[in-house]
Amino acid sequence: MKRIESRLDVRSADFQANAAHNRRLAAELKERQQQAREVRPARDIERLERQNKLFIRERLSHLLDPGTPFLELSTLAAGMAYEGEVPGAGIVSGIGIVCGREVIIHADDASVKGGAWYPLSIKKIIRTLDIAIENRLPVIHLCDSAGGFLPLQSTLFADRYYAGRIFRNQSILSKMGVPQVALVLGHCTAGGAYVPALSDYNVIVRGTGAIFLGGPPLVKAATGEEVTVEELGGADMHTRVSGVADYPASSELEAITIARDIVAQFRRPPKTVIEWQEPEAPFHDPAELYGVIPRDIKVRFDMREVIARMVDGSRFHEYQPAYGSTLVCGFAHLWGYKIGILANNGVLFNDSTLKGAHFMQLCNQNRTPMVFLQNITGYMVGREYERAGITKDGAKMIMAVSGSAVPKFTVICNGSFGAGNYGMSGRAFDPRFLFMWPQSQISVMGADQAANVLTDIKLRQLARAGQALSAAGIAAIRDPVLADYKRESSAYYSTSELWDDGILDPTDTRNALGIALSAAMNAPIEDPHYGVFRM
Amino acid sequence: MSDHQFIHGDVAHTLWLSRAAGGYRLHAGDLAVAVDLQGLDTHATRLTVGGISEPVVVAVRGDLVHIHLDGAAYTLRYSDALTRLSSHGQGAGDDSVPAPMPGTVVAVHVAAGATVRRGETLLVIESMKLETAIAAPRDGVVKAVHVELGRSFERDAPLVTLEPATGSAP
Repeated sequence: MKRIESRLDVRSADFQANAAHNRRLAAELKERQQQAREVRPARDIERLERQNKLFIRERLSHLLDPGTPFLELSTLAAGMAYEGEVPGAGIVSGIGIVCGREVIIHADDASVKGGAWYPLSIKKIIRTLDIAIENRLPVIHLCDSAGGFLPLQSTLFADRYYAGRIFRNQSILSKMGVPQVALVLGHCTAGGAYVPALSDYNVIVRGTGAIFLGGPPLVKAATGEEVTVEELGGADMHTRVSGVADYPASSELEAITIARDIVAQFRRPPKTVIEWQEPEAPFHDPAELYGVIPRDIKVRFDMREVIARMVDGSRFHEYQPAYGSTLVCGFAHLWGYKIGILANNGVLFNDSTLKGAHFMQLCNQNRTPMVFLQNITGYMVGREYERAGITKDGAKMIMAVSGSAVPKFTVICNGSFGAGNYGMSGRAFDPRFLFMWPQSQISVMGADQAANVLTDIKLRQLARAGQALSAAGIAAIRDPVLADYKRESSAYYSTSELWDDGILDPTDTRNALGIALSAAMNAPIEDPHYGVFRM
Repeated sequence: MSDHQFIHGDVAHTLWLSRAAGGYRLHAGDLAVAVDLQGLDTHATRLTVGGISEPVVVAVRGDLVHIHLDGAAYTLRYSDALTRLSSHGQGAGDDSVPAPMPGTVVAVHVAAGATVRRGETLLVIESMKLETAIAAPRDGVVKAVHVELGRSFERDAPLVTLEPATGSAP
């Protein structure tokens, strides 16, 4: 495999300006993540202390094997929702190592609104369990939730992907033979009571943990019965009488220690074997990625410069280097794992689209996981391209990406606009993981284009009524559309809404993909089969 | 034949390792000699060539291999066959720089007669909301710039032509 030869001048003013700009964005990302992880109002921290509970980050540090990586997912979920009062959507999700096993963690954060489940909290838990299902990862639930946030119940209870899906996913995991452990560290009320009940193993802390369908106030209102928390659903009642809980613990630390010992009993099913070789650091410094990404999203850059700073030894076997050059396809190794890369180097034309569909079939045929590096403004438009069937070629790419059986990983490196998002394995196409870079943008079309379209429609409506619009009137239509679009196409909005699994500092991408690839190999790779390709 | 090639000084050595009983055999031209390298991960690495054994220190950085052997230091450069062979055969095909897609010229950085380095931006085009820098495919002299600022063009239209390559290495 040939090493990618970088054509960048790292001393150029342009590179330096890009680097300064993107380092600033990375620092801002780290700052926002730090806030969401650690910073809480004093009264919430004091309440935890009063209740004799550990802060969620302490719980995690006791649970995870020391010195092992933890890939936290969707840290900034709900960051732009609920007036920013529900950092991380009140849930911590991530892949880590417990007693040498790869596991995924769902942890309620009781320091955020008492651990209440908001609609985005539920979306985050369901996504966590979807990842567990797709990759056959054992789950550890750290339960400490006040229950669903009642004022928003109409958007969290009844629909297909609302709260019920959590329990459905738990049942599917059990059916698949993927083990789950729940730690009851606070109250598990109503629906939340099913999380430990549907887990194969659960541990409950005496004094602070409790499980019941209705808490004492509800019981009083319903039947007039007066009952304490401990009598109704405490550790001793459930581990001695009801059999709802398995292991009593006298403290959170003991509960976590028991949970680790439970995980240590799990069998370790063999992983799926794919091509692998001894890992090698990239020859080109990943920190140079800051200088590769342009400051202006409109400026094109060579995605090979990105690949060179992500893969082992910066080595890349490029497939069809002279054909359909706006889509770079080829093989590389990442942390030793053989991968097929599809990376946008411009607009998708007929030839690059066909090349993409073809390359995906090759990767499926030889069981090579695929990494999509998105920077796509869409498929080419215009008479020549419509006549050449750009739509049916795009359909082939979508058919190939949907029918693929090898694990897919998507990184939105810059722009993700229009149907290009689909062909390049956007969220709807079930990539195992999807990450974004801080400056990236995602929307059905660019902000300027959308503002122009909407202004044009308004102008034509007015023209039919014989009216015209002043420049100020046009701006009054354009500006709010532009502002909304800018906000809602940002990476921070995407991650707030859980359209992705998190925003990455570009230099962390190699490690994140390494963990993701390793996790994905817990599931077998099925045979691919596709629908009808429109020829 | 894509043997391994190492450059020492100005001399290219073409080598190949084959399996042999109890180790490897090194092929260099018509020579074939038994070789062995023991303890590569420790400080006590020993190189055995044709029955003679010496302590050796080896450090690899990218394509460079630094070797300390018998009181002397050597630096070899590994020459990858894919790279070596691909640098041949570049000629007239690279004289013309065609448009990769239909679009409009938004900046022109060079004029006829300019000397350009490989990778240097010749002009910038805009198409489908994207600005693309058109770079020189090789070192050379600009023969003609076929478009001016604001001009639209179709795909594959020639944008810039370079003077034909002279064939002599720079």
